[in-house]
Amino acid sequence: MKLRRRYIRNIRQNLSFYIASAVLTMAALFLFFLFHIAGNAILDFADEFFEKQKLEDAHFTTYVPIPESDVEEMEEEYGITLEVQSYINIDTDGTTARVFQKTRKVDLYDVTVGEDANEKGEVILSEGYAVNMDISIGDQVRIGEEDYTVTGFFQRPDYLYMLENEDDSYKNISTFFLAYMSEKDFAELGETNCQYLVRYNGNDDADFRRAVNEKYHMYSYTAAEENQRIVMVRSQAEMFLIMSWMLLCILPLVAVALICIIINRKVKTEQQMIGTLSAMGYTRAQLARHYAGFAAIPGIIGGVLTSVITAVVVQPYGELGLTDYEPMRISCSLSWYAAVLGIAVPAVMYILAALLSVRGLLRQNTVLLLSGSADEGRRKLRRVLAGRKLSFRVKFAVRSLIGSPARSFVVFLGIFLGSFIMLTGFSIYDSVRHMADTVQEAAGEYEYQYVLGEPLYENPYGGELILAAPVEDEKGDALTVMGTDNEQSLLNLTDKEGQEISTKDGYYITSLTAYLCGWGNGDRVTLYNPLSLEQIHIRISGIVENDTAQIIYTSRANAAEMTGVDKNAGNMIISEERLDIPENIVERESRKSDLKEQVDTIIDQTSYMIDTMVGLGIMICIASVYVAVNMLVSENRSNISMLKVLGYPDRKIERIVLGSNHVFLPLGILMSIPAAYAFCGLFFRIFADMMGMLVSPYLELKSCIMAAVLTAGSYLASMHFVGWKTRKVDAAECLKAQRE
Amino acid sequence: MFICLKDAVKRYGEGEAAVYALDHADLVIGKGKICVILGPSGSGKSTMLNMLGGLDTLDAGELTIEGRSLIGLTPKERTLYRKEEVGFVFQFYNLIPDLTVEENIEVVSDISESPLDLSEVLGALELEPYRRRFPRELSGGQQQRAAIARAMIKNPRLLLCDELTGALDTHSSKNVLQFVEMMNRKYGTTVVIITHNEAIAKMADQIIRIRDGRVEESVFNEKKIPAEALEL
Repeated sequence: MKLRRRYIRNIRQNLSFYIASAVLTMAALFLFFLFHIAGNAILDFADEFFEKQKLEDAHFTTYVPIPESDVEEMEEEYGITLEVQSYINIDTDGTTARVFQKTRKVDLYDVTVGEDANEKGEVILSEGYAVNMDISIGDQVRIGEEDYTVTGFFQRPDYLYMLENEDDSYKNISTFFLAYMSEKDFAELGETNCQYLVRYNGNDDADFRRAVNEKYHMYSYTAAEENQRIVMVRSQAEMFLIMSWMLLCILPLVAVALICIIINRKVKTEQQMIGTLSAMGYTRAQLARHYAGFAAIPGIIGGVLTSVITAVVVQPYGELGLTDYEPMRISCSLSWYAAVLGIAVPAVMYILAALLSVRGLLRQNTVLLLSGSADEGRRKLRRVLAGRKLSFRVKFAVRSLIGSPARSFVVFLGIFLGSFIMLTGFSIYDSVRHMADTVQEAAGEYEYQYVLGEPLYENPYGGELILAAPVEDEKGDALTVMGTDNEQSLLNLTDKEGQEISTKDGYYITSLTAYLCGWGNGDRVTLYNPLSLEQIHIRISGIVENDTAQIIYTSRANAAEMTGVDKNAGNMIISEERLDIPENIVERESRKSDLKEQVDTIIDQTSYMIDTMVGLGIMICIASVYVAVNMLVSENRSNISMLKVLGYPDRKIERIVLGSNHVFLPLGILMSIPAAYAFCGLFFRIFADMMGMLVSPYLELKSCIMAAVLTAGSYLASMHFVGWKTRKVDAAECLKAQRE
Repeated sequence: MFICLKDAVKRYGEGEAAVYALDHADLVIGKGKICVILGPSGSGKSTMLNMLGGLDTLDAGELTIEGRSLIGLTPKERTLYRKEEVGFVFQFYNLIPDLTVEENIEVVSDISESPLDLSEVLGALELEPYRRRFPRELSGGQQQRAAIARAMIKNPRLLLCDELTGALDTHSSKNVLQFVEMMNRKYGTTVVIITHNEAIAKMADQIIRIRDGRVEESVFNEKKIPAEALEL
């Protein structure tokens, strides 16, 4: 049809509209694509790598070693794979090397660069450390008293997130690494530690665990689902995926709605043309097809742009999201069906919007369409303030705003959306930073924490002796039970009202435990001792305000009963001052302020995500305000030309025609603040389980001001672009156009 | 008898606010004739044209075009009627601004069963030199000729012209009317022109005067003169 020739010409004539709409479509879809692809790539990698490298289902230690013959017997009896893992930690100049003996059945390492260490004097290192410390193949590394030649780098499935200790919260690839060496070299290292790695091969674990505990006395047990070194990989992938779906629910839907409104208005401005074509005998279907073509253009261009840009940046972006992990070789690529969906979905939405508009218009009388008064009902709104003694500028502004509610909504939505996205980014940043302080406060009033390698029954060192041990809930999720007898505990236990809590009275759960487990005050809950799998029933006496850890606080005697140890035992000391405790009984020493440093590092690592969100916010704000105000200029061409004829200078015309929208700037920004705050709260609630803490949404005044300035800047920039278009309107030409 | 309108009523609004655009109007127009409908603003001229063109429907009365009743046609049937039988020329041309003259005409020939030859129509309306120009590059008269060409390309049996010279100067008006006359002669098209310009009536075979929605007078013009001789 000859009518199709309008497409190219219309794009040329309204290039800025099509570019802005396409950019808006792209900006809205882009983040979804990035997060979705990266999330799936990580999951795919993890699934394949874990299976190939025979990832453990759990590891444990026992008081009594399991003889080799019993290992084989148990494997047969319980249908499991069990392997002894010997290792040794060697400190060298402040750096800890964890040297493993090679295993054959579980947690196999994968040499990713170079060759395996098979000869004497050879060693392979965990890749993350090697890359971080700029170690090359052939370099010498000192472990203990010996120098070894590096022959390769490796990754281990249970150490993709390199935590030195299981309960550390942040990786260490600067003073901690893993290593493998030849059997002979390993044997020469001296006395080693021993743990057992188990794969259940789909069989029930309970009988096996009970049997091990009865015969060999379980000392510790960590299921893979509770092992942060393993779980963090999936968590990262799931976080990306959840983010992608949350973004999909917000950005594209809103952006698509916005463009749909614009398309709707554009179709309505063509009502005389539609009327003419209808008068000439064009059927509804033919007209609908024609306008659907117009609508599809920004969707298709936006979709293609999104697909192309995503395809280019998804790999580096996906890898950027994994900087915390060992260098996983994920393969991020845009699948053809995602690309097709990315192109088709917005195009279909826009086409539907156009079809609905054309359908609505064609329901009107053709005569009304020909006279351009098919939306007369709305035009009544433009008569408001008639007869009132107000300046024409005020009346013009008010009628412009309420006479075209859809257009006004688009301007508002553009400002709101841009500000909302930026504020969400800032809010995530502020909340995590604020959490650093909260974590310290919630942890209590102590500064030093000493985790002891063996139980202590009397405390000659000072500070507060605590018994901390793991328990499992009915779903198998791990919690920590902490027992203390101090009336004025350094744990600083208070309820929501700030009232102090005494652990003598019963069992108190943190507010995070209450949220994640769904428990409340007075509930009777069942827990399990993870070593013996014995059931423990407790009644919750109250809730301690702490959103950063899943802990049950009670007296030391209660904690001992729950975990099956002596009632006088303790395995952790907390103190305000540094204590002089013999090194041989301290397994780990940490300071509360370390938490803040860890959070700072997390913030630095995630800043790319926040920068992306702010950038996209600016883009969306500029693009949406531009298309909306552009529409305003197009629809006011006759008014603009008339004002020019009457002698108004360009600046004044801009103020009259465009100025009415300024009211949306503060409104959009102000409304975006609670919206971003609420979204952030929802975001952290969804991720609470994954993060192991419930971060409270927080927004600093500085961030609000920054978002407001950026939004206002984006708004003014788009106004400036459109202002140029206003100046381009020729008075005579415009009046002629109106007449014709 | 080509067009027969009997006791036609078209009302806008309800109750006391109701306005009768056509108030029991009767009209008969012969085939292949040029008919000019005259009347002041608000007399019902445009409503009459809309009814004849199948753009709108009567509230009461009868309307037949060459024996075929337009009453009770579905919107789809009315669209088909317009597509096959009627050509429209509007006061403000209503050309599609982003299509050339030739393409504007082809917009109609595209959906026509047996369109006339494009070059023939362009030649007849002396638009050949402007066929690749956009509407904005033409004068008002040239644009209106393009609009006539667009209406005529499907060789309609009925050409409805709504104030076709209303936006043109005298010279252009006469020129456009000459082309309408020529089309009527060449293709035997029945032409209905609505206007408030009395002078145009002199080129008509039939002159109808409307006032307040009623046909006040319908006469055959014994002293018809060619458009070229009109004093506009």
